[in-house]
Amino acid sequence: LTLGQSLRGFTLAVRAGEIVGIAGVDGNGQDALVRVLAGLERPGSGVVRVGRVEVVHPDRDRDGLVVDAPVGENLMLGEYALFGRMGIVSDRALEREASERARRAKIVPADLRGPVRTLSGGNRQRLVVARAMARAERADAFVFAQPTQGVDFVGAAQIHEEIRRAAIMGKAVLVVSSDLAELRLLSQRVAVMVRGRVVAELPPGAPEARFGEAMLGSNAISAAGADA
Amino acid sequence: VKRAGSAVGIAAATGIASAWLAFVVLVWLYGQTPRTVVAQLVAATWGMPYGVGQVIYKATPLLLTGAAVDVALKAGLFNVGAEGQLAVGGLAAAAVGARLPADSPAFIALPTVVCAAAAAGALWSAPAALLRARFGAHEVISTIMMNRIADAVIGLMLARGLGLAGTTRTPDVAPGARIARLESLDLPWLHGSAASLAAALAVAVTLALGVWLARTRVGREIVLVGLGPHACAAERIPVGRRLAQALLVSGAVAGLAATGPVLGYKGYYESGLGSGAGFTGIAVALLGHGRPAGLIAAALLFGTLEQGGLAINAYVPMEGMIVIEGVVILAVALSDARIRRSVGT
Repeated sequence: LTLGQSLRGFTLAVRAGEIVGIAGVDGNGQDALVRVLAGLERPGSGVVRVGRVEVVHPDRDRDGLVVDAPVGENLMLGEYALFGRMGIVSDRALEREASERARRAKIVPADLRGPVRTLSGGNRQRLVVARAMARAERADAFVFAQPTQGVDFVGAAQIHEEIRRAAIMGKAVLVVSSDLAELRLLSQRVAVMVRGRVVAELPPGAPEARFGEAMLGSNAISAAGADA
Repeated sequence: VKRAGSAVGIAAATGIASAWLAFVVLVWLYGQTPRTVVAQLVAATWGMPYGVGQVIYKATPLLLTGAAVDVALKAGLFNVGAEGQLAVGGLAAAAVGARLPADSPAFIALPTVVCAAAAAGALWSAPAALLRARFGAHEVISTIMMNRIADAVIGLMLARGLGLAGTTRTPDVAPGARIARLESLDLPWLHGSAASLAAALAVAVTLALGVWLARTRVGREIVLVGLGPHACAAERIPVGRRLAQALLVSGAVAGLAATGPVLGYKGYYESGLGSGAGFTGIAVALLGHGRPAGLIAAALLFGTLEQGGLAINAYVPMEGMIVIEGVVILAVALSDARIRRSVGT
């Protein structure tokens, strides 16, 4: 995959039921990768073969949420076509599903009509993860970018559980995170991204120093040669 | 989608307070006392049946252009083209109405001319809708340009075929295409005023738009796109299409705005009929703040100012009312996040 200066020859395969982590110093093309996988940008060259993908975006308040719209609408964003007939939205069906999602994600306050603006960062993050997971049946793959940003310890554990659940359901899961510990905890493989390409693929148990080396790029080329 | 009540209240209060301030300053500049002038203004409008009828007549196009501008604002778009959309709508209604057989029944003729007005308005907003959805061209520029094109095209069409020879007006529309005056409906106290059932049409359209935005998939998504286009695009809402739809509906509603003057009052279109309502509609939309009831109240307020302006002309030139409108637009725009968002994109 290529995209301007952000992605330069990125290649990665994720199998169904597998969790692959993307590590790297921020700004090495991770955001561009997510946008391409989400279909928000067309790659300059290369192909994306993912089928239907659910994406948790890194810029949550911009790409994940309409912060001035109610919590309930955000939980159901983009799904009006499924709730209602002949273009008329069925508020009852919509609210039933939204409150079910909010309950499962333990969003507080549980007021579906209040704007997302009133929610804490952790609750906002749980909201976007819950929305993605609620659509799991219709998805082939998941991309979780910075899935636990601004989330407390308990909330992060809850979100990690959801990510594992997606893999258990047989989905291909990609986790992009600047939290290396999180990636090593969740993934079966961790790919290290430098300047828009994968320079190394490491097992999660690899010593931290090897991740550091790969991420800083000093040995990027040789590391890629050794592990590819 | 509900907005914070306090923010709405502040914007409306700012608008009304600054309107009052501008009014007082104007009146003092002309050496009058506000109390006298207000008394005159109220007496000439709400103080007598004819005045009430005239306020309704003036408020009718303002409500429709206000609702039109409001629909676009919901999508985060600023339709400055209601003026041109109104004009082509008025011309289309009159041109179609004049070609109907003189004995056409109202139940056929009236829907035909009303649809012609809406279609012409939508057609006039279509270039802006297309340019915005396809290429991201800013709708403020394109809708303003279309206003100028409307002026020129209408002049040309009145001169070449649609107008009566040697005039700038169309022939009379078929009687069946006329909208009944309120005075003819057992409301003799409105005698002589130009108010017509077009006012009911305006209210119905405004309420219907509110329901459309709240209940339908397209309407709901338009509102969400206005609040957060990036998240909507990420969740596969067709943002470009929703923006285009908002502008087309806005144009159609603005196209209806001339039905009051054309079908309810004159019975023909003439150059300049209904002009100004497109711009005042911006003030109505801003002050009405996205609520049908707010739009109706704001339309009545500006209708009162327009009608009252005639009455107080002896004290303060009626152009003063335009100054007040401008001040309201500025004041509300400054406190209105929707405008900030629209101009920011």
